Amino acid sequence: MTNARTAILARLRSTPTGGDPRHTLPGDPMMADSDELLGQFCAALAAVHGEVYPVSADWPARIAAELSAAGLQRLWYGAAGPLATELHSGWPLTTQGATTVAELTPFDQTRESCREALFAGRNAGLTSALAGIAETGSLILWPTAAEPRSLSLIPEVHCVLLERRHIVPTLEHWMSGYCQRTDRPQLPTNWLMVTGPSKSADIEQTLTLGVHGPKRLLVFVRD
Amino acid sequence: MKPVQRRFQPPWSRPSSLQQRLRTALARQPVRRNIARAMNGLVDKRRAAFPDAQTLEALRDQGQAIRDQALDHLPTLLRELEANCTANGIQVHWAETPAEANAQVLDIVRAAGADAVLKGKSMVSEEIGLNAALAAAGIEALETDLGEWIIQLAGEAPAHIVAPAVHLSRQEVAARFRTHFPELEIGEDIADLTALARGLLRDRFARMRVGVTGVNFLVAETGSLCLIENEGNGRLCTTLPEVHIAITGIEKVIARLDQLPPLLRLLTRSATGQPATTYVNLISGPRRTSERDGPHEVHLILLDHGRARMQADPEQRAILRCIRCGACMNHCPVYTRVGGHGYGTVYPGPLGAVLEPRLQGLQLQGELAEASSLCGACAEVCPVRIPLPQLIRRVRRDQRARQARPGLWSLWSRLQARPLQARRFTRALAGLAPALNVALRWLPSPWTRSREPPRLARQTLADLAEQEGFADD
Ligand code: SF4
Repeated sequence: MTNARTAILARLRSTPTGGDPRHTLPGDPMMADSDELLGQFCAALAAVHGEVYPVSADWPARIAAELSAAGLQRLWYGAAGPLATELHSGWPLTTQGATTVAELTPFDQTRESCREALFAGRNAGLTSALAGIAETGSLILWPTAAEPRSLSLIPEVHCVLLERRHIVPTLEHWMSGYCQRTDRPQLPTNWLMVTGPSKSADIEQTLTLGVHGPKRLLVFVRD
Repeated sequence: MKPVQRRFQPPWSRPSSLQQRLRTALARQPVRRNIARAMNGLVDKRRAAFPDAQTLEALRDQGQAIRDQALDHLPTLLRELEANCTANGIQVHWAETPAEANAQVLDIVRAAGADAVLKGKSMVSEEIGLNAALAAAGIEALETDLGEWIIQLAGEAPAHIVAPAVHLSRQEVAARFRTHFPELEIGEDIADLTALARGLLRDRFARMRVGVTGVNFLVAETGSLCLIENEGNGRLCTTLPEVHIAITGIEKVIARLDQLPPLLRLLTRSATGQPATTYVNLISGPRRTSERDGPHEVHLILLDHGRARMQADPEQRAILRCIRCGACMNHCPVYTRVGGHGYGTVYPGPLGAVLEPRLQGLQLQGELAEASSLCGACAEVCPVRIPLPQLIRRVRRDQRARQARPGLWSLWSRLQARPLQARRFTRALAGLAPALNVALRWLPSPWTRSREPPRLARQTLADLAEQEGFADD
């Protein structure tokens, strides 16, 4: 199809114009008070039907409690991911009195078999987040080999651990931070910004949650 | 005004196929009700999403500047995009025509040994008639966006570029589900209908080998495809299959990654009033060596289909700034009454009236430019400030240039070039006014079908002016 390429490029005109438009940072760039950002983040996330839980070092137990309450069977996580060690050491014993604790299941196989299992049964997936966006209650995810993208997609509940100090005012702020880094790392195969659980308004413009992706998004914000 | 029924229709007043479609659309009251309700909702949501006029205008300036820069440097950016995509492991294909693009998809699907593909929402795939082309080759295309899936079941075309099933009520959706899945018990609750779609489609997601999607923006600097969506079906289509095929128009490219946030802001807020869609994906290549998921191949098909010709025309180039938000149709007095199906084209509304005549040719679709009142509402809301009414007028102008002028009009304009004769002629007409007025009432014409026929005055304007003492100079 090189012919098509040549023909298309030959038809196009270049119009040298000056100026290189970049975004301007919206709002007050000085607004970096962490309480204010956290408040804005929580409100924005709640508005899109995400759930926020402030946590400290006890976060694995808090996740376990939420999953038990929802009756979920397994929590998938990246076996070599940034959260694996802490998750293991903080995870409660398999049974705590009458409630069953979800089983920790590493996503660690290169075969497609994990994926099959991810579709079966009642699962949750855990990922880290690179940043939170206060304005929209969004999360910036950076899926890697150690923390695959399926974790935030296939299970019916997506749990995220977010560091409070990683909340920035807007996507513009995050993007300029990333783009201006001289040692900017290569983008992952699927850079991702998630805002709330999966939703649709395709029938009568009525909002429904959990269409194809996760039905619930639980964000655990660590101080 | 009472509608006058006429039995006889002379050739000059016979409705074109567009007029017939519009009439059918106008007669469908329930559809009109659904669309009007949805459009009112979208208009309100957009307004609420941009509370501050000054901020919005500044943002629109940015959006326009970013898209203009991209289109001004399109050849360079496309080469840069191709080089960076290739470096990322994305295979880039170029297609001049829909047929070429379809053939490329087909080749990739066959090479993957698939007999069915998952589809994410893509207007370009509608534009090239991909589903039909695949079906003709014995390959099933399964739409996975809820709205697209509903209309696929119903065998219909999308009624809106953002909300394809906007013309259907929940009862009508349920009825379509019942026809297709007679073995299931189906109620009319929206949450239940959605859950049903999730269950039925999930099963198929886990198994299909090829996913086809559109693209919202192409980032030249990083060789990335930006895809936004709310449901998660798009992510499933780009994550689960072994092969992902993205197909889009050559105009979708932008120069740099840091230009993406303002465009996303404009797009989602203009389209649905959301501050952000559930998912914003930047796909920058197939599965890397150590990775455990993602497709093994990513293909990008870049479609021309008349876009390069538009780009080369300084006035028409503006329409390529479009980010497909749908705001122009949501605010259009014609679209909100006839809906997408009234236009009979893939892109309806003001956008369609400008784009379709260029994609399909003036001969086929030039008439679309007449389905506009030129009220200007579209240009007022367009997030990238496309002068839609000006471009609609341009289509009309180009259309006139290729059509012969009707004889009566050329006579009239020749007459107007000779003032004295014109004066004598109009005076004669004024004398005949009573008789002519009766004739005009009964003369069948498309103009008088829904309007009062004009009435001739008994005195000409020139005579009246003379009586009032205006000098004739
Ligand atoms: S022409 Fe403007 S308003 Fe219409 S869809 Fe395109 S960007 Fe949106």
